[in-house]
Amino acid sequence: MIDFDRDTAFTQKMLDVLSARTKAALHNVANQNVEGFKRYEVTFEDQLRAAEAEGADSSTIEAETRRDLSGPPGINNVVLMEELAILGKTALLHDVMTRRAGAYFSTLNKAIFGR
Amino acid sequence: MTEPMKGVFRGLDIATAGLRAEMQRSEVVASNLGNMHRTGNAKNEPYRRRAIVFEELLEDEASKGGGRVASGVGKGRIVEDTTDFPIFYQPGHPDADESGKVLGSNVDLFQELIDMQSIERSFDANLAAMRTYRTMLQNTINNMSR
Repeated sequence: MIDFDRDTAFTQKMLDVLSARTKAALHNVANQNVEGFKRYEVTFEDQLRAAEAEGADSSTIEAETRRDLSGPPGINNVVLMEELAILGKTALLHDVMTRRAGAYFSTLNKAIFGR
Repeated sequence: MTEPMKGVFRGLDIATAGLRAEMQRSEVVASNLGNMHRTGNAKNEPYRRRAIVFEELLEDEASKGGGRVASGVGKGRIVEDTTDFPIFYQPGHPDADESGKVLGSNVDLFQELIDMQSIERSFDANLAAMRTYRTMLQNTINNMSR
């Protein structure tokens, strides 16, 4: 029995995380000159790694969007190059995940139509 | 599945907000440069330098139980620079008072030029971020439709 939801669960979750992370980075870049702005970050891999190490159920791990409060209070802590690097990494990973999802459906297609 | 297509183009909106903010900053710089030679005296104030301050924009999202979602940068607020005006001794100047003193504008040319450079870099960064996001969407379409 083919269960789309089960087979694409991780890909879907990861794509959600990457999408949220991209928007956070775009938001940080847009606010780079706003006084007192503190950057956003989206964490997921760390929670996933911790859950795997403990042997916990990793399918219930949710991404977390939080404010990075590092740096002196009231001082903008956006580092432009870091945000652009995050954006680049996320875009690459997003490419990987969409290829993965595409490959899954093209395999099904092949099974159905035999080509 | 969360609402399909919802928020796909929000990334572009966020980058647009950033571009618009930098554009407004450059307009304020242009206004400062254009008026920097407007002199004055005790009765008639010379041109006062302006600056623009922004705040981050968070929009309410009904679907997430009243959570707030990052939406770029908000509308700017113009503030006036309260530093003192430089005083020149220039008798005969139309704005000179009885003792020959003229008040100049508190715009600093070099400060404005540096601001202009920094605005240009920020604008480019927003544009680069926007391009990356666009490529990401394009790759999604290409990868998922094979």
